[in-house]
Amino acid sequence: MIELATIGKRGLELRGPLMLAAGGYGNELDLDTLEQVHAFVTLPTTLRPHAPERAIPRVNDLHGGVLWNREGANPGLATVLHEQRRAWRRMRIPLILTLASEGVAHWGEIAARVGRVEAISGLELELAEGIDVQAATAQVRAQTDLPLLARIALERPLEAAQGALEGGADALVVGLEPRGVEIGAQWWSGRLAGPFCKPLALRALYDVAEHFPGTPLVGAGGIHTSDDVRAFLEIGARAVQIDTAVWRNPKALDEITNGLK
Amino acid sequence: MTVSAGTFFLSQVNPPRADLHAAPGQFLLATPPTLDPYLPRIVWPFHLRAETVDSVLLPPDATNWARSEQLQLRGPYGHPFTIPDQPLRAIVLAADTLGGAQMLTLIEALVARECEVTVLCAPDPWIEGWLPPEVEYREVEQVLTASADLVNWADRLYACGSPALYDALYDMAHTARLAFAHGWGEILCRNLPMPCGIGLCYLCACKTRRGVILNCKEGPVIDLADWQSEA
Repeated sequence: MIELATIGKRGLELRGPLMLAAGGYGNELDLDTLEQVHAFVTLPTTLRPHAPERAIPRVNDLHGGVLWNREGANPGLATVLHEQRRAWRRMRIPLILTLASEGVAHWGEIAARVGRVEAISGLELELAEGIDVQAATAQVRAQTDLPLLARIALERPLEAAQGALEGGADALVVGLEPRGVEIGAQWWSGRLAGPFCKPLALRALYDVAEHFPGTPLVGAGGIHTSDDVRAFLEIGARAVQIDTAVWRNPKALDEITNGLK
Repeated sequence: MTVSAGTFFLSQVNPPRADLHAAPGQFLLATPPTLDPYLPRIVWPFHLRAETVDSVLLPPDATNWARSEQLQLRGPYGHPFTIPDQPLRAIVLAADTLGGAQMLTLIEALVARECEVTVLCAPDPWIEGWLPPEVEYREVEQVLTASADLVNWADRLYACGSPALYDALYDMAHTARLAFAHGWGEILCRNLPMPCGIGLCYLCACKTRRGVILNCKEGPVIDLADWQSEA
């Protein structure tokens, strides 16, 4: 078993290292996928529904990856719980609810509400740049004894890691995709995802592992193959998150699972 | 083989795919074997006079890779156009230069249902060449500025094209019919990337008059009455 947290009644233990990450797969898993992963991280959620401002393309293809910007679009906590609670209860793997950075002001309230939802095994905090990492983590910690995973940005990861751990995070997810801008007919900003993020993510993970030995770490960023998974585990991650690889290749999980056997 | 098809490019699927049979308005996702481009692209099944998908319409930016690659196709995805149960006497299809080729599978389905179809379309010799002889074709220089007289006699309206076209049709319908009903008009909604195709990733969320929808799952075909302008 892989231990990510010891807090609360159950702590957070995974039967293997593969987590399906926030965003790539929505809020519910099909049965085939459930058998291949060891934890599921939901779409980033805010307390209230969050609608996008405009129907502009929110994902832009680049060479070797994408620039994306969901603009925080999500149906809101009440809808997510109403629609998914039953399905989540049937899952036999830990389910981690992600709190979207757009709704940071309400994280404490969300934490208090979902503490009673049995299907939720932990919370992942999307600690985007500009958020007071320590204060944001501490407001959630004050409301729940659920395991907290702090998803820190790849930019200046050591400061963010320090703040998250001081705020009460149990584990660190390294990390939140780097920000980027594309200048074409119009300016386009968002986060980068895809294979070209892997070197950045590996570097940040290496630094965090060096500075915070013993802290449970989850690697994320550009993981597309079983070799990628091995690389992240080798430099200090206890688990990894797979995200946009499943957009690119719906069989990515099959291939990674087979490659790790 | 790939040929120009209006603003799209028509590419043969070899061998034809019986398992991908899609209703008009539904889309497929195409992934090349290399990582560039990274995301699967939306392609539109084009299977006139065939039970199987034997061709697809490629967006213009796909042709630099799609011509020479072995594409992985999957689908169909999305909410299709509603084909009337009974033959209707006055169906109008409107398209501007963006949407003409996407309408052809719909036209064929309507003609097969013995509906009387009039097409209002920006001039496009390629599209005209594919139209069944039963269809009345009216070339409209500017569909957007066409008079409401062209559409307000229709029993039903379908449209494929740009947001500006939908704005114009919504305004025309609203003016001519005061409060027009749901079910009268359907449009092939916004041309947004839809990476997952099944309503999971929320990257194609967009506003309509009935709230936020996921374009890949609750669209791409939506009711004209739900169209919300962004102008």
